[in-house]
Amino acid sequence: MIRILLADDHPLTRSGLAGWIEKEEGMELAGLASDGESAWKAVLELQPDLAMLDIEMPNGNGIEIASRILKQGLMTNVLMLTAYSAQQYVMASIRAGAKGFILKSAPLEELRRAVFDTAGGTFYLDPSVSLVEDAGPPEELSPREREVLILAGQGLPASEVAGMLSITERTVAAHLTSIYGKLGARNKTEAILLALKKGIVMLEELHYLDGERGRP
Amino acid sequence: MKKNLLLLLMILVTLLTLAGFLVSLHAFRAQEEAMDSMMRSYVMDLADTFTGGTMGRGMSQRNRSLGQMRFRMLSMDPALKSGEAGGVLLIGTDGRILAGSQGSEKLLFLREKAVLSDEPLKIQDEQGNDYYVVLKELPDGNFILAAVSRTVLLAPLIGIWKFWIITAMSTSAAIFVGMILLWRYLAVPLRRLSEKIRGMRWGKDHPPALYSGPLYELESLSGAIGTLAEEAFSKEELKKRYVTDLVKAEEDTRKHLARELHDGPLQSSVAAIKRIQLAREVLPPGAEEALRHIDTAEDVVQTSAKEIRDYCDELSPSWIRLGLASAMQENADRLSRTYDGLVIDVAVNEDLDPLPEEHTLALIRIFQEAVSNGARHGKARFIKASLRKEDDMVHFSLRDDGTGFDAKDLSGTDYEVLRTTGHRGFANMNERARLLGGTMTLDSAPGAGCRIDIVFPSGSGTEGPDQNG
Repeated sequence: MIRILLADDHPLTRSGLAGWIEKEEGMELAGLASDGESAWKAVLELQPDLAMLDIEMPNGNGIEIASRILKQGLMTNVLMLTAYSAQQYVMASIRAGAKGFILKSAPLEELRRAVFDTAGGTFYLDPSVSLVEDAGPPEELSPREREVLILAGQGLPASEVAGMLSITERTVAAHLTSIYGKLGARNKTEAILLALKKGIVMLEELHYLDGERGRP
Repeated sequence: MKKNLLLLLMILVTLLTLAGFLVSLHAFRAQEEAMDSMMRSYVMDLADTFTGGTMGRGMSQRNRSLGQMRFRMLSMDPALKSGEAGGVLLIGTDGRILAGSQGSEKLLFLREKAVLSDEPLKIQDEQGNDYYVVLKELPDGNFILAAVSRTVLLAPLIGIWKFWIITAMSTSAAIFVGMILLWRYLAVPLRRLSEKIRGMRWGKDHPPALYSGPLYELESLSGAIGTLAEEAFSKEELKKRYVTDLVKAEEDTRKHLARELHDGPLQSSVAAIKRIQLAREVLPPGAEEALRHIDTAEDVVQTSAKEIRDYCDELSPSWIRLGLASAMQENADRLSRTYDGLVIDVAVNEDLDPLPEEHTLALIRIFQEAVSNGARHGKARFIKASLRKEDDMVHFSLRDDGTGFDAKDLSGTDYEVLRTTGHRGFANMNERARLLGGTMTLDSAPGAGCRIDIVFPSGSGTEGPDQNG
């Protein structure tokens, strides 16, 4: 049984989802919160297996709560629930330690998958976020390409990636272009998200996300 | 010709004056010579009168009286009435005066200096009077001394002449000096003034100090022009502020609308979608028609939710709240999706976060405009953007490897210039840079890509137009 805390400031969404969780097999509604502060209190108090957090909430957004959970080393996994599909929301969520990211408009089957995946510690990404059709198994990346992708995908500029790998910026750009082609991505964030989704890159490999960079 | 007309006129007047001066000088010389020869012939005639006649032959009693009479007649000549103007003396071998015209004894001193000659001699006395002197020896051994003083005899004539020549020369000199002063204090300042007026960027700069000098007319003229220029400048400023205000007002409205859309219709649509999905779950088996309706309803709401999301992104994307680095990356990612194959590299210096939301938004808009320019017009494949802080100033620079263009003509980066020369994109960027209280510089050349640099003060919120006016 997955004990779930649901935090969303929109009453209709909140009550709708709460009803769904209660009915779903293998899920149990541990508590409800309508803003950041009450969500944080509930997390501490209830120690749920999974916190479904809305990103945009009053008194502390979902990303903030996720990073607090990460910092405190709590066992609660986080699934981000949002009305927005911006890839940087995903990146910010991953930085904050969230295991999953799903859009509120996603079908219920996807939501079910997201809940079970993230509760089990597996990375889940809403299919519509990457905005590309899943074209079967991806081409394999070379070890160098993987290195470039892991560094660049976390938001490091080409100059820093080039410096860390002792290659030129032009080479970094060339690697990225090749990576985009292999993954079917159109930018480095999309590339890293697709790589995460397809298991080419593990969440644990993204060390540079731990810093304060770009945290909202 | 027209340009130098004034100069030519002044040279002409100066030359005419100089010619007049030379003519006066010549006339002065000719007059001197004429007076000289007149004096010479006069004194010769005077001497001849006494030597050529009866005086020449023996001193008979008759002749003597005739001689005396001649002397008296000579004394009646008004010019020679007093001996100072001149006279004739009959001097004995012993040096005594035998006869002479009235007052002529005063001229005796000339005897010592005079020598026998056929030509008159010029002798000066102690008072500086010039005498033309002729000394002749008579057959009887006596001497005839004829002398006239030029200085005394021609005194009125010389006076008038001197007055005339001084007047002519000083008039010439005055005109000459006048021309120089006119050139120095009127023509040159006028030329400088027109140069300055020509060099003024009307409405763009405060007018420079146009004239400082002694002439009231020029001062007042340059003052009037300065006032006009200042008015043009204020008007231009007002226009710029108006544009800035418009941009700001538009941005505020967009932001407000986006927030309203995001918090209201979008959240409701999303909630509706969830409810529709839940309704589908609890539908009894076999309710095909209800399922069809539900599917359609979800499609419709999904579409409208997506549309609202797109509107929000268009108006004021919610992701700018993620902070500058994330927002810049999101923006870059979106742009590289839009321009397929374009690689955008963003480097945001860590100490920049957090920046006011307005700043982030302005930078995002500039970024979008610049990338769109570089990718669409410049066919750029690689764009590098960087943001860093230096001495309380934020530096945003963007380089592309596109075809570039001649940016020399746009160096002023003035909104109007950019707008009217078909560079609306750059005009907008420039305006947003102004909105940040900063400046934008463009650097590009054909084949060399394009570089855009924007520098604005960090920390302070969006500056009102008052501060950057």
